[in-house]
Amino acid sequence: MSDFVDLIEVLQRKQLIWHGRNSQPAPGVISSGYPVFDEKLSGGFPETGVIRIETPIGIGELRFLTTVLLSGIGPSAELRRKSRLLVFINPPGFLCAEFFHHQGFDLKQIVVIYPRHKNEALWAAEQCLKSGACGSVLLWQDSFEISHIKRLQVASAEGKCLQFIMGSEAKKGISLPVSLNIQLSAHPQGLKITINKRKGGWAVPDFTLDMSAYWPVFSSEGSGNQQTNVIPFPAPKHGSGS
Amino acid sequence: MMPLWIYLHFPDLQLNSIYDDQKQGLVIVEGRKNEIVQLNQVASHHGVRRGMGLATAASMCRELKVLEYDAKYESEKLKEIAHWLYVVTADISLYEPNGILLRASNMLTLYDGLENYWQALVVQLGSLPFSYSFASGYSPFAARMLARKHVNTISASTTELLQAIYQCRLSDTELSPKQVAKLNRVGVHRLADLLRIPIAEMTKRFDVELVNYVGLLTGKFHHVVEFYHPPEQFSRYLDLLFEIENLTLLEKPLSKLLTQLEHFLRIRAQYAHELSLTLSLRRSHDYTVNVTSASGAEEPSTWLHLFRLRFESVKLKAPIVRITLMAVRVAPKQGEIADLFEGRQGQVSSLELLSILQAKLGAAAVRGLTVTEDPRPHLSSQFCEPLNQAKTRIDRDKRLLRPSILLPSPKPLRERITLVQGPERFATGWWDGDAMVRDYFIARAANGSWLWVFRTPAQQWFLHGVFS
Repeated sequence: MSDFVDLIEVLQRKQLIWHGRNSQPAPGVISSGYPVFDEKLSGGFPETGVIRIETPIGIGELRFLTTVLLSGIGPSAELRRKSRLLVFINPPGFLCAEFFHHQGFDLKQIVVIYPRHKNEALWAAEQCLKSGACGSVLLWQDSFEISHIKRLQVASAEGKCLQFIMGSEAKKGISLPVSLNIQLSAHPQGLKITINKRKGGWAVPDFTLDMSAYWPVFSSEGSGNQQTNVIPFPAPKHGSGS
Repeated sequence: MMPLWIYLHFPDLQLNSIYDDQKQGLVIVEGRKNEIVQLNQVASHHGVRRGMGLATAASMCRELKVLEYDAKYESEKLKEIAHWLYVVTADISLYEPNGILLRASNMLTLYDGLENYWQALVVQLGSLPFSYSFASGYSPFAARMLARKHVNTISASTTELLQAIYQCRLSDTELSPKQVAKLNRVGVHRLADLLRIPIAEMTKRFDVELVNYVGLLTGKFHHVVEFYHPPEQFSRYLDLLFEIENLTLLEKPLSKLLTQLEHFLRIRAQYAHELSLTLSLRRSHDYTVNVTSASGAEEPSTWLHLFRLRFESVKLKAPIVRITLMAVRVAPKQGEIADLFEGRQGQVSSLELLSILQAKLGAAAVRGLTVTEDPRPHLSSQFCEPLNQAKTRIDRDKRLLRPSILLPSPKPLRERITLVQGPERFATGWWDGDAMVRDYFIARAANGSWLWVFRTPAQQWFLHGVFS
């Protein structure tokens, strides 16, 4: 019996036993830039793997990811992630260079790919992930098969690159082997976050991410910034409206 | 200076390339002449010799397995040998069906001497199952003749080589039996006798063919040699000595081909991504098994494992007589480092990655992003060649919020929105005829998404982007 206890102690000392209550940040995490989120997810996003984000378009999903995307390619990050690429595959429109410029991205590191069909998108994502030349890859696509995600997971680990899958709400029933599955929905202060699946962690109840401090305009209270130095348009001469 | 040649003669090419377990006597018979041309050790132990008729051989060895000589097959194998030698030597010429000629003189500087060069060749040949005899010479014919006589010496000394040639009989040469008989009648029996005749006299007394031959043999005439160029694709086959009905027995011969594939890939720094194995069945259609590896592999063990998995679902209609292995898709090894703790890791540079992507998807599908000096929203953000942005310093007011995603073209606004911030007026573009006057607003839609909308002077509302 005492041998058994000794063994457990030895394993504990070697940090080979995982405690369920352990909420210390795991070594391989990247901070999301939002303390609330980091706390709920014991440190933030995983360093590699496939992260599925189920979100409607335009509620702030990219703004939410800005910090983690920057740390994937930026100079501040560890692990020789310097000057790696940030790849957008099949985004729902044109990317606005000014936005990324303002957010501190080096535009040279951004690559946008518009593939012709789904298989090409997956192929491109896999190539980017496993190359080791990219910090993060964002792919907008709704339907996946389990084997697709598995391949992306392997490639992500090989290239130490984070894969985000952006899509609308998934059909229930099929559980994809992603590392993290987050569902975002709009909230007056920022985002409402549901953690649908999380590898190696406990379930987290839904919570609200208050982004009003970071993006004062995009919260219901922050609309007081009306400019007053605007002259109205001259009334249209033969217009039909007002 | 005359170039030095080395000739390799493979007398048992067909025999050596068959998967033989040396349990039974095996002879290869040239059908037309009814003459044994190759035989294995067991047959030789029973007293069977080259040149015997099949009946004699059969009477000496009770359990004799007989195969027909196939010159085409030997030529194929010869190409494989040439391919294999190409790793260490450059100028290779094939003498079908069973000889290979190498031009040594050009390689001597690289290997620092004939001795080293020959050692490199011996090591390379050592990994092949073929027995061979060899010789050097100052002309292709001389080297060939000596090698076929099993002289088995490599030398660069002119006198030594000449001595060896002088000792040869006329029947060892490439001359036709008719010519040899003609020469014998005038008292010329050995090459020494023939070579002693001055060329001028020879032209007078004999026909031009003989003069040509002697010129080529002594290296005085230029010998035109066609050199071998290795193929780009791997495709090898192996004839099975026994018909195989059970696929698990196929692993041994298959791993032989896979080892050859590994060499092929390794010297090219490539990975195979897809292999196709064709099983030739007796009296039935060929059956093809394709195996793919997404990450690419070269090791025989990896491929064998994949084949084993694939074989589980294969049902054979007839026994297999031959297997052919072909590399369908190969790709250069991409830079990667195998870290002791972290396993295989990608190490492709950004530029390499972009070239891979553009090669497959087309250059138009892979774009970079750049900011221009134009203030108009649809022109200020432009696509460009990736990693190739012009260096422009754009100082925009960072308080001006821009959406992260712009619509390709503005769409009429069709939903109820709440204006949150604005307007930001754009009245610009007067200089190139594409003038615009718009008031942009940040708005919130009922579903909670943040929109970038604008109003024209005609009070029409459009959606131009979303603040993702």
